[in-house]
Amino acid sequence: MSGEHIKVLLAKKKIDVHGRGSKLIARELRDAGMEVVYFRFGVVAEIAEAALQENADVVAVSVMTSGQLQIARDLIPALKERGMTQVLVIMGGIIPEVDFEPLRALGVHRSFPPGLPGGVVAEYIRENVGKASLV
Amino acid sequence: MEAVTVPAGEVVAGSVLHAGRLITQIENGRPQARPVLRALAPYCGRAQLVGVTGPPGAGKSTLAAALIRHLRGQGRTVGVIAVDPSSPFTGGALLGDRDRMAEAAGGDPGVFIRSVASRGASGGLAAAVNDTVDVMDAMGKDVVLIETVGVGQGEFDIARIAHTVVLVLVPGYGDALQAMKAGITEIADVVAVNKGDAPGADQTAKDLAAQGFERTGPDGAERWKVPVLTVSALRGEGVAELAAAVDEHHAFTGATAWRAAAERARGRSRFTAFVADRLRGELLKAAEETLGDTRPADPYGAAEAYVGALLNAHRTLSADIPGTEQK
Amino acid sequence: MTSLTSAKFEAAKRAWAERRARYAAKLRPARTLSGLPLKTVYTPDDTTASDLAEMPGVYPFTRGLHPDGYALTPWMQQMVFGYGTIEETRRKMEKMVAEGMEGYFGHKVFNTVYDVPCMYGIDADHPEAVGNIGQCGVHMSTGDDYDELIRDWDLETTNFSMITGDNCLPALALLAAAVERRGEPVGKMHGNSMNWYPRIAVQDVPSWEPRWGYALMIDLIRWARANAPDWNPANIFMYGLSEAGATPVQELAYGLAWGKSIIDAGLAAGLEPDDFIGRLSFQIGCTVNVFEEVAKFRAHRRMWARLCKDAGVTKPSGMFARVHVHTSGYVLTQQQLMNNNARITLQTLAAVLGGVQSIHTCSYDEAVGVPTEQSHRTALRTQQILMWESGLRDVADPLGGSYFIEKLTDEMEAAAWEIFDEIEASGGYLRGIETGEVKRNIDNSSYEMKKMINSGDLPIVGVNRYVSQEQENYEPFRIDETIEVKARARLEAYRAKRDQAAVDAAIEDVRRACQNLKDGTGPLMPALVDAARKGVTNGEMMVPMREAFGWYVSE
Repeated sequence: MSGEHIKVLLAKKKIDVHGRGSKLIARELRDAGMEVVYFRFGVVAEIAEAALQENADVVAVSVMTSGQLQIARDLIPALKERGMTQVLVIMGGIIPEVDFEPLRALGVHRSFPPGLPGGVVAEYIRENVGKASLV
Repeated sequence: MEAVTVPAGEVVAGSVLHAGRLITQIENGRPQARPVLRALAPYCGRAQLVGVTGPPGAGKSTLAAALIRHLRGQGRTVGVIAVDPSSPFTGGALLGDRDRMAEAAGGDPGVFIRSVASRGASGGLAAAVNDTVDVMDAMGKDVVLIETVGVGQGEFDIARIAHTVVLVLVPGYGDALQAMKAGITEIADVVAVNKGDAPGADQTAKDLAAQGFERTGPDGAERWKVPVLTVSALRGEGVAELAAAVDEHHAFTGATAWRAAAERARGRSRFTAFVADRLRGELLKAAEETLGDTRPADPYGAAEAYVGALLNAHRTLSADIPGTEQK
Repeated sequence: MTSLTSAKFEAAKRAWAERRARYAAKLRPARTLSGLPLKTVYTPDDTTASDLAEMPGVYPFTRGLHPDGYALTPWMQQMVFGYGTIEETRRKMEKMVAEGMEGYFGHKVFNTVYDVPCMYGIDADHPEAVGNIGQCGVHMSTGDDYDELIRDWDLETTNFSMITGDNCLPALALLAAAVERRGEPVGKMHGNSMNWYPRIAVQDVPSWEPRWGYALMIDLIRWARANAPDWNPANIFMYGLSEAGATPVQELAYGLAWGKSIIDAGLAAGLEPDDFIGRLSFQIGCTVNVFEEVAKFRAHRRMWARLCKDAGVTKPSGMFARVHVHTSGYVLTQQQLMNNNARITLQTLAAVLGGVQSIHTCSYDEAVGVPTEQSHRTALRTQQILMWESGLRDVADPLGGSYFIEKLTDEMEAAAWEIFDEIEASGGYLRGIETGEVKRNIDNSSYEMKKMINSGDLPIVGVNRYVSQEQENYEPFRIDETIEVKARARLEAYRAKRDQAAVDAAIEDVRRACQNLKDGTGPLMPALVDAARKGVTNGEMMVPMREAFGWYVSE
């Protein structure tokens, strides 16, 4: 096997009809050399379980129809419970800037607005992967 | 991405956290994984290994999802190794198989899905898949499904890790179908013509069945008649029959000389793959270091002499390779 | 054209070519969003005789559906809304009416979006509904909810468009049962079922297996035809295609292929062309690319008219492409939020110049979340300013006869027919869902466009041009999260007062009717309406439906 690759679990809510942004970011991260597991979840525990099985370095959640705070409230403890304390957790999508700080307080390392020029998310991941901890 | 040694006992006890980490070390060729894999060896050999291969777009993941649902219905636990291609340009990969299987597996602790990127070299991939199979086997999964990318001869190596190889085809592939016919006689134990709703599926299945494919096993063993089934993974039709055919093949090989021969072949290929990997990685590196800054005037001759010396050294080793069973 | 191609014109062209040659090397060749090459100027040489032989209100309707354009029938202002439980949404409905939102003849038009749990078909107590109840649409699941919805409506003058997902049939059944409870005939209902199952071609949500998705669409169309003849039973959701990344030409091509697939399915089910085709309508997206969008709407009308005629429709009004425009939300940026008002104005301008029948204007803050009251009103006012201040309504098809617009209309039509023919040749739109062909092609366009934005080839102000580092900290509209508690309480109270035995029996009837629909031996809608009468909820109806027709795939 050649080289080590950053593994990203990219999760999007199953019942959410919007998918353009999550698919675009999946392709961008792939083109940045990462291994991206695209995954639609029903309940938040499924994200944590998938992250565990995949031993993901990064859990990225795409949110288009609200509920970001609730997802964070459920996701961070679910990851910690399973011993995934080193994983980098990011969110993106239709999330207002004013939620970024509350999300950070809940344990989400970084949130991104929609429509960012390419490369921003990949760069952030590359710089921060392996350094994060969930406390 | 530090790599600590994973406790083997945790893996055997079914810890997904530790198994997940160990598989990452395997994928990355980390030496820490080696002693753990050796410690897992006594717990391996119980799982039924099923390969799912076929051309891209044949519906392998959807069929695998249907199989998972069926197996879970029978109360069997399932491990899945789903291989997707890496981009040759960026090295990145989009791994979508988990998503296609999620509906079958979502939140079920009896299913462990691991997405694996092919990362170019299929030889290395085969070794990693072999080791990953061991991890899931040691965890106690009843069945391990290996879903391949579906392109290239290297795919066949990966599919052949399994006890039973299911070749998934779609009707109307034309030339591709002709090409796959060669593959059928080579590797397929069971053929599934997928998308039973598409026009021509029944005809394709009939045409294939009429060929009467047989696989020849080890000397003196009974031949295996390759069954050709029609399935619709999307509609869940024909899945029970497919699962039954897979089990029947598994029982057949277990009751004949097939299984032992296959296990021996698998063991030998793992040995050579592992040795090749270390020789390439470590012996060559040592040789290069010995060369230092010097430049051999006759590179070809120097290489010949070096390999000759190595072979001599090998002959002085004991006739048996330690840790292997006698034939 | 011969009169125009006079010696004087030829001389002008020569002089133009000479002047242009001096700086031709500096000109960057322009393209439309769909990739069609543009010239720097268009002349009579670009028009064809057929471009000049058309009038508004006459087949093939390139220049509009009505002879007088908007003079007598201005476009309908159909703002999409819906949030919280029915109480919050009712309040919003009344507010919008007070703000002057109206349809034809002053009728009330409520273009109401359901929340994603309802669309998917799960009730408020389902674990997967957490975080999404009443958030981006109204949560309506019980008979009580629908009774409250229509409480004081005049059914003759109230038009209700239900933006549903897979719950399309259950929602209509619940509405019909509520109308019955008021003692009025179901035939008085006015409005629209979206019935846009084929959106699954581009959307990553679990839905129905394609053949059953189509069977369900036709089942609703049949039921409406027999029971509620004024009800519009199906819409073609081209907006979903363009928001997923389709270029305007792809949106046209796949949208028409979608329409054709409904026509084919209806005819195969034994419906007559004049029975149902004229009741189909469209929802189309609109970007800020003004001329391309105008040309798209013009080409769309005549392409649809031709498809209808070929299918055997005889009444000219049955060939109308009745279009509701939803201004593209994808073009809105979270960066420098107020800039979106300029975009929305341009989008609305393009839709009006394109001659569409109904418009929803996005609010400038939809890039951040659900619109506030203030931003939603501004969006409505944008339409009203165009309607009353701009003079845009006075002349039908004011761009008709423009060398450029006529040429672009022709070129978009030709490019769209090419893709249309391709998908028809490979088995049609339904097959394109199964093979993932539609999704693949549209996803690729989406990625190409993103790469052009990343490289700056496609300028977006505030994103890759004139970027500002300032934080905006815009506070969007918040839907109280306690709405979930309220919705669950309503559901529980509703369930407690039902005759549970009757409910269970009705669900069993639905299960049997699902099997009948699969076997081709009977309809499903009547069993759903009966279940609604007995108190079965949206989510409960969907359980046997998902068992019978469910499908989950992504290519």
